[in-house]
Amino acid sequence: MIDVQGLTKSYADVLAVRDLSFAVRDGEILGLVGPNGAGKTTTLRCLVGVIRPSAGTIAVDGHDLATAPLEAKRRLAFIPDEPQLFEYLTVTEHLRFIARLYNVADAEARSAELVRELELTDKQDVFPDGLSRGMKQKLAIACGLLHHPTALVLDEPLTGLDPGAIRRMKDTIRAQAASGVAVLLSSHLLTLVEELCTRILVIHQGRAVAMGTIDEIKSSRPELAGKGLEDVFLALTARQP
Amino acid sequence: MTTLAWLAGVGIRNQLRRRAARLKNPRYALGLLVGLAYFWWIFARPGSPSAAPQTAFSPTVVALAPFGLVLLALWSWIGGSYERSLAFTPAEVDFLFAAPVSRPDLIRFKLLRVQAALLFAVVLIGVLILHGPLPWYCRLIAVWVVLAALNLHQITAALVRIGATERGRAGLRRLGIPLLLVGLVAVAVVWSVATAAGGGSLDAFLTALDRPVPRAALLPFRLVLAPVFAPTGRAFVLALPGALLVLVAQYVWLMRSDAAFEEIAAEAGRARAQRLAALRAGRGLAAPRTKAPRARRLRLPLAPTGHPAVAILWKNLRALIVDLRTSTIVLASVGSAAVAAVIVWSAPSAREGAQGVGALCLMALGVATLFGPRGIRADWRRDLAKAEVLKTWPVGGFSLAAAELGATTLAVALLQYVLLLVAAATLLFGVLPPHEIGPAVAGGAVLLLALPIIDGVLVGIHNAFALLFPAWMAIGAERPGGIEHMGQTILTTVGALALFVIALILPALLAAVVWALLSHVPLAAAAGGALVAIVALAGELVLLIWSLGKLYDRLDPVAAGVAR
Repeated sequence: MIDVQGLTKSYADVLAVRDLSFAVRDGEILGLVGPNGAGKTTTLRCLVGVIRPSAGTIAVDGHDLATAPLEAKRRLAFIPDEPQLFEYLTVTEHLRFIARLYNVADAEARSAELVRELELTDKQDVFPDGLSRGMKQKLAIACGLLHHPTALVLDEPLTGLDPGAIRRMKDTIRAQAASGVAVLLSSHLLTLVEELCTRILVIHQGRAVAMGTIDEIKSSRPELAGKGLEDVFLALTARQP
Repeated sequence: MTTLAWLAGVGIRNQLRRRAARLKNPRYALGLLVGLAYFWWIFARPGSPSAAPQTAFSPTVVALAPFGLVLLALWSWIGGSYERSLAFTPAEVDFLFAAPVSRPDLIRFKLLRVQAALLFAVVLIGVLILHGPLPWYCRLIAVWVVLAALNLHQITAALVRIGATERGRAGLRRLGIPLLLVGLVAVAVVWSVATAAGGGSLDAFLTALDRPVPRAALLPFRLVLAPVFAPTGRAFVLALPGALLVLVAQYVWLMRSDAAFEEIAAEAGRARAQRLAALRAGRGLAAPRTKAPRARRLRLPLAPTGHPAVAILWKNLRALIVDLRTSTIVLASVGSAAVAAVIVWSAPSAREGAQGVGALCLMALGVATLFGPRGIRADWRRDLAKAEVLKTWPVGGFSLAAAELGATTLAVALLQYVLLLVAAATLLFGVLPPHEIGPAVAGGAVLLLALPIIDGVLVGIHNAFALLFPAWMAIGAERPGGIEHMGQTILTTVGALALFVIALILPALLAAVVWALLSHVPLAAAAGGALVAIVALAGELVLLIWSLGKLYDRLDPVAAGVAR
């Protein structure tokens, strides 16, 4: 479970995220949506420990990211929109490296399973510069899932994937949630969010403007009744005069 | 082509504007001042050897320069990296390759775009380094002709090599006639040198170069260099047409090679997408890889469980192994062996030859100690570019810091140990008198213990700079240029050495105290003093690692500018 309370992040005179509170329960897929500059990336970076919040608390499975960062991080996996791979490690070596970093006892079997699932079998001895964008994304996903995380944070997970891989990625996300993993998915693809997510958190100008299932959000705004997610999103994030 | 010329011009102008705008930041302005001061000190200060007015270049320099240029040209064919010569940026690939632009125009665009870097080098060489009898503007023109010709030659070599690679045997056959000609000239030059009277001396070599065949072979190189060495303005004007003729001939060759490249590309019929992917991956216009690149065979074992920091050390060692090219090892080994052979050969006796080699190794050890931790960068200086991932790893600050410093420290220490071993082998056996062997062995043992700690401290200081002032350091694959970056490099290098000297104060004081206390037993005083100094320095290293861990934990990659 990911529990966020009063998350605030400011840079000099810019308030990127303001007093954001939400929780992602085990087995749930929460969609994080918002226009460009809404504070999604900042929120994700705070959640996975890349940057420190200016205020508020973040807990992963009850472990506070500020006071017990290693315990929290051991349970987390972050898959950024742009795969961050090491140009001097092969596919197999990336997995070996991540296995040791997270102390994965069943690393060999788990790696083989992921490599097969993500169709990286014939690329195992290849460096990242020999991989296509989609393959790099798959490797980043394999690295993220290797240590059986209980909280999964994904930023635009479908970027660069071909249709087949998109289908498998969606299945993987669903399977992770079904196995009890708390999934937070940030994406501009509203159809993906609508298709996969249990609940949606809409943020705008650093604030949460709506949270719940699509039906709950619609019912809270009578003027949105009968409209699709795209219209709901645009109405919620319309610029205030 | 007009659009591409405009694009190249605007690109150069904006690059200069961006550099100028960056100077508003005090650290870049300070860097520029230090960089300029460095050049002034080296080349222009009163009393500097390079600032002394020259009436004419020495005949030896004039005679050897064409040969030097030949070597540079040859390097383009043998070992030069053609990827860089033909590299286009991803934006250029996306916009220009998709546009209706012919490949010759692309090559011309590339030539225009490289002029900014070329002009910087021209100013540097023409104004700051060369102090010939010519007016400064003549020197600039002369140096530009040489560098432009060399650049054209590099690109031509790149295209021909790509062509040969793509066409396989057919490509090699295409290279047959030029290779045969070059081979014949090389044989003629070697034969001339070998049969010259008084073989072995520089004079004999110069005489050999002046024989008809080598002279004819070197003619294009002499022509292109003639304006640089012209003793008068009139001589410059007379020499310039010859140099320009070579430049034009080189340009024509390049364009003809380009036509061949088009033909080759059509014959090969490879997917253009693959080429674009190669370009996007920064491999220039190189032939698309038919096989995915395979890992180097040297494996490093890593158990899946255990302390996670070991994984980071393993990763960085792996980076060093992958970076270490076989050609580098071969060149370094052959070069070192050649230098050692020259020293031994020119020494009056074998003993003195061995002494010379040993002394050289000790000097190299000093250089490796001072500059190795700066030059080898398998640590945060490389990893911080991926801070977005690093910060998610479940590794504590202290462990992470120790692991990050580990690989570079080990690599420098390994290099030092090799040098120390060679120095010991050459100095201990037959060179040092028997009564000096004991103290020398003891000194070597102290160095064995102390060197990794010294390296760790220096690597730690450089990493502290990376964490504190990431904008001053080259982070990741970034290789910033310009005088301001050179100034920043000087500042950080001097700063690191100054901090290192400060770090040595406490160990030195403690060693002095021990020495004073045990002075009645000189051996114990020396051993005790050294041991205490090493322990104190090790303590400082632990403190440094701890501080680096804290610093890293507090680092905000976004605010520091190392993450998007």
